[in-house]
Amino acid sequence: MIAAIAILAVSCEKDNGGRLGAVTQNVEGMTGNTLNVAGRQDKTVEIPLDGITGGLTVSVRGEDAHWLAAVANNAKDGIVVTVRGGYVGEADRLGIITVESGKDRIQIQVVQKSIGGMPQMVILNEGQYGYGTAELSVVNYDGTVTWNAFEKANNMPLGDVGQSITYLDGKYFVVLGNSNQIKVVDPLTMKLLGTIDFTAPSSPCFIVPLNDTEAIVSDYNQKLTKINYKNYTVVENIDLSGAPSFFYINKMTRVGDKIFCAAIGSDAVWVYDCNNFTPLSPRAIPVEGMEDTEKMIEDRNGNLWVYGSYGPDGYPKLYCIDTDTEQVVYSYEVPVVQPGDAEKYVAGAAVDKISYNRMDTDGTRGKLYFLMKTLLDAATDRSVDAVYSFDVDTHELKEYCRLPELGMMYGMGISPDGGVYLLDCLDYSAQRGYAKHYKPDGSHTDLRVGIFPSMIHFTEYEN
Amino acid sequence: MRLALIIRSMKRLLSIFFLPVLFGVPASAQSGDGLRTVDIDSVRVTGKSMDRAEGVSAGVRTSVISGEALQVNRSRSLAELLGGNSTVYIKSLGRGAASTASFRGTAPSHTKVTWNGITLNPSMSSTFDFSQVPVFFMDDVTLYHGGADLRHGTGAIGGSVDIANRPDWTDTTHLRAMLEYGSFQTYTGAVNLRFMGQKSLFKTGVYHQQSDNDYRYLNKIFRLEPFEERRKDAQYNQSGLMQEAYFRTGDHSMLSSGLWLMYGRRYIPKVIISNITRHDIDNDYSLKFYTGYDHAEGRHEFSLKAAYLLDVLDYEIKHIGETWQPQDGSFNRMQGVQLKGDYRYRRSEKLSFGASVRYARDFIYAAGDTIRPSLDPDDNYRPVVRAGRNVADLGADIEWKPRKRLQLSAQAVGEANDGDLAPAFSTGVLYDIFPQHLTIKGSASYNHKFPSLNDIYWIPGGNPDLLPEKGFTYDATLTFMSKIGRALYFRSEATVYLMNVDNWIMWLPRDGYHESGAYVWSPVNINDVLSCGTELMAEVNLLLRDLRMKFRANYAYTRSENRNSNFELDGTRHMQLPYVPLHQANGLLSAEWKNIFLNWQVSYTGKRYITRDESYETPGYCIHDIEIGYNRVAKGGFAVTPGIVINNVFDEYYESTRYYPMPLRSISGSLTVSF
Repeated sequence: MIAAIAILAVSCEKDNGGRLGAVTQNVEGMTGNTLNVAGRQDKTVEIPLDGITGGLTVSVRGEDAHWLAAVANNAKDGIVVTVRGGYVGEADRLGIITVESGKDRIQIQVVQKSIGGMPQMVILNEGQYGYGTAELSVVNYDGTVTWNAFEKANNMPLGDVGQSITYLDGKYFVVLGNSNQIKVVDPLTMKLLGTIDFTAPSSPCFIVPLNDTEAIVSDYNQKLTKINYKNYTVVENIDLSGAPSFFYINKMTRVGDKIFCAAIGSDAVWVYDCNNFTPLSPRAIPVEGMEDTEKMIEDRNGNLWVYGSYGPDGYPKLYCIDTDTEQVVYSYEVPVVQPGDAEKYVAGAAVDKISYNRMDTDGTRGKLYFLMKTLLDAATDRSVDAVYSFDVDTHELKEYCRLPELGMMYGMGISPDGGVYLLDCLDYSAQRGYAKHYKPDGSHTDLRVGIFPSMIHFTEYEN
Repeated sequence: MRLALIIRSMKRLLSIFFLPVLFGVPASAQSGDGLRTVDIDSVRVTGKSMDRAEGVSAGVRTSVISGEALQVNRSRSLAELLGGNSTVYIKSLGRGAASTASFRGTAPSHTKVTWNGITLNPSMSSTFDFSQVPVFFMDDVTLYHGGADLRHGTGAIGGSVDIANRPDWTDTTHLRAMLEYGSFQTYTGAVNLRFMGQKSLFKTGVYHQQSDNDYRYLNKIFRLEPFEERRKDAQYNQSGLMQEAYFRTGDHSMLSSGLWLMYGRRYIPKVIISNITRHDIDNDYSLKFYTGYDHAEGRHEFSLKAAYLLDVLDYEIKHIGETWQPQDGSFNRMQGVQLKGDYRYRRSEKLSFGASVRYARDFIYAAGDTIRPSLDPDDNYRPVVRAGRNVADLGADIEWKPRKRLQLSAQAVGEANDGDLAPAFSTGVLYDIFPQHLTIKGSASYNHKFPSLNDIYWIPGGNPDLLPEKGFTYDATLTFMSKIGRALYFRSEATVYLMNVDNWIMWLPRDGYHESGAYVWSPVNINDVLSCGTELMAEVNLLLRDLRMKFRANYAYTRSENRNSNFELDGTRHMQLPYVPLHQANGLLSAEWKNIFLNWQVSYTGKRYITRDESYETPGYCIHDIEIGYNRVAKGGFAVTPGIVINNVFDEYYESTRYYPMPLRSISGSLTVSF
């Protein structure tokens, strides 16, 4: 949604017998002698410098200039400038790069614009059932929050019971379960672009694209719905009552040309082919204790990780599925320490799962993040909720971040850079909840959002 | 002559059918307090709003719904009656749909409802549905504001609504029949038959109303462009039979009995921000029966009453379309037996003592019909709840008039609820500062309400460790009334009150493992609530030759908020509770000139927050209803009364519950015949 903007401008002063020399101006974003840089990502720019030859000396000075770096590129008679992205200060910041070669001296001014006022994430708030208080909260990089962003843009409420938000075809598709409707929203303006109305018995949940025009919508009724996400119509209501051994499909993930489905009432992941979609005859991949409410995650190796459980207490078990062979190639039982194990039952041990878990990954897709309870005090059995990370390559499990002062977790999102965001609906008593950004030391920044916040969409994934 | 013959024949015929139906006892007698009925020449003004039953604190604020209001609303429900004529707040999903009532910012479950002394609150939820009571059946409706009414045990933390039928031995009407047709294919038919002998009196009421209820409104919230649509899934029909019987068994005693049957089938309207893909239908069956004996002789009065109550709620869901049809629904059955005895000893005109004993047994059966197929055929989700409860209480009260202008009263109740003991009490004082003109009264009371059977036993999530909700009420009322000239009478009341309700129960998800991985909903004692406010009432009666006019207005300011924070980020502290309007007002102007009568009812409800942190609200509204009619009385007492009612005269869009629109302007015509 947010295109990184980099406008470079270089000013030069070339001490060459009192003559000012020219520098190359055909660098992206360079205008005059002012360089403007903005964006979430780090930006690296090569700047050739005409008329300067020989060894270059480069220095940087500016306001807290750790965000700016420049090195000589003697091979190309220029410099390489690197600007750290994601600046969220209130005002633009300025840096000066000085390049010297013998008597020649050139100064380049770099101005980085703040992205603080740009959306970092869109939070879907489920709202109270039957009250029509589902809404979108837009959270900017500077921490400011726009409540009821959809209603403000359209002068109408979003709907009843927000189930999911999916970025698809450059738009937000917001599924509203009790409204039996999908609203299509423009990411930039939050304006309503169209609606997809369900007139058959439905309680739609999640969307996954099937092909270039169609998508599948899971449903709390025993059905799927095929929609056309180009012209916003329902293509087909698919009755699953004849499907094998599961009740309804909840979460879905597309990997390559396959759709993997988590279904309630079955210890399996169900697989459909996008090119030969046969709703009543999916293939099953057995997964013990499959949790249909957990997101299935495609890692950086192309494998699919799903969240299951083991043992009588249903402790977490992670399954790695080869999406080509549709076989479980690895599984990991998350070790949970019991009070009877005096040696291991010490502060810091993982001692329990939590009731309503969520699993996510970061931008690298190299780690899985999910919640457990960490023991604080063995004598009193006091524990705290914590996010644990699991490395998909080394299979290392470790406590990632503790979550003190968390009321009732209702959703979790890991930002592309690994930031932990917990959606706290407090006591679920119909009041605005919070998006809590937890730091590794357990401190947190709390942003008040809507009622029953349930899902985060990070805008960075729109690029 | 011919008409008289027809009437006599009908009386004989109907006696054969209805005489043997029931026998019974008189309704409990009501007595006035320090303010008696006032006669000003030919204008007879009843100080009814000051009436209270014995056993209720002398300082309690009481309001009696006027006969005019009962007349205007005769084809409507008790919810609509109270909404337009009292400071009780009615929350409704629409006409015919579920409607609850709450006093002074408390919860609907804190409102106690009795019919001729029998408690009607359903034992499963405690919350009474006022849409299921036709006004046509009612003779008196009396409201007791605050927690001082302990006559029927505990539970009336917010207040209580007394619905009463009474034997009027002076009424000579034999039949009263009404037919009404109104907008949205609404048909109402009602008949009241009355037979009276020297020592017996029988009243039979039959009522039926049905409506498509598919009114038009402008939907501004479901599409970008507002569009007109008809209300869906709001149709209903409702039928009822009420049979009363009274026998004077002597100069001082009477047997009375009552049977009340109701049947209703209604669709549950949906929030209009939704595509409707299923129909929810509520089938209600209820049977209420009581019989009792009253005796009053000399200084002694006593009464005995026994009652049986049955309520069945059969909830069905029909899905639209050809795809898979889940089996959803539920079946709930509640049965109750109540026994009570009251005794009063009048030592003198200044001093009397009362005592009461009461026992109630409730039993519920609830079954969910939801079936969720799974790998395990025995794993179908079909919860069944069977639970019961025994409640016994002992009460005593004293009323003392140490001086001519001063009344004092005190009541106390001790209740045993399945072994848990809880006391309640109230005290009151009333002082006539200027007799017949200015009175001040006040009360202090403590009341509590035990959790409902759903709260305790529901599967899953019932919480047997819940504490009773409890609270103190303090209020003071100043009453002024005056006769101005020969034709005008004025009366006004101003009340201030302060209430707290602790251990307020809410259902919230609890962090317990469930097979689905979700939270389990469970009731908890979460809030301590403070409610304070003022209630104002003014009434003017005017008589000028053939013109009779009466105007009555009510206003309530209600501030009801959560007193505490349950955690650091709790945004509900000091916030107005959901669906408690800060401002509420209504007025009824009744005018009668010769045979023509006019009633103009106005009701205003201020904005209401719908969430606990005041983050969402629904706007206020002001609705006008007008009735105009003509009352033609022929010889022999035969009366014909045609009338027209226009509801929501100014065609205002309004919502009692957010996104549940109420009807715009509607009209109905009626014809009432009596002789």
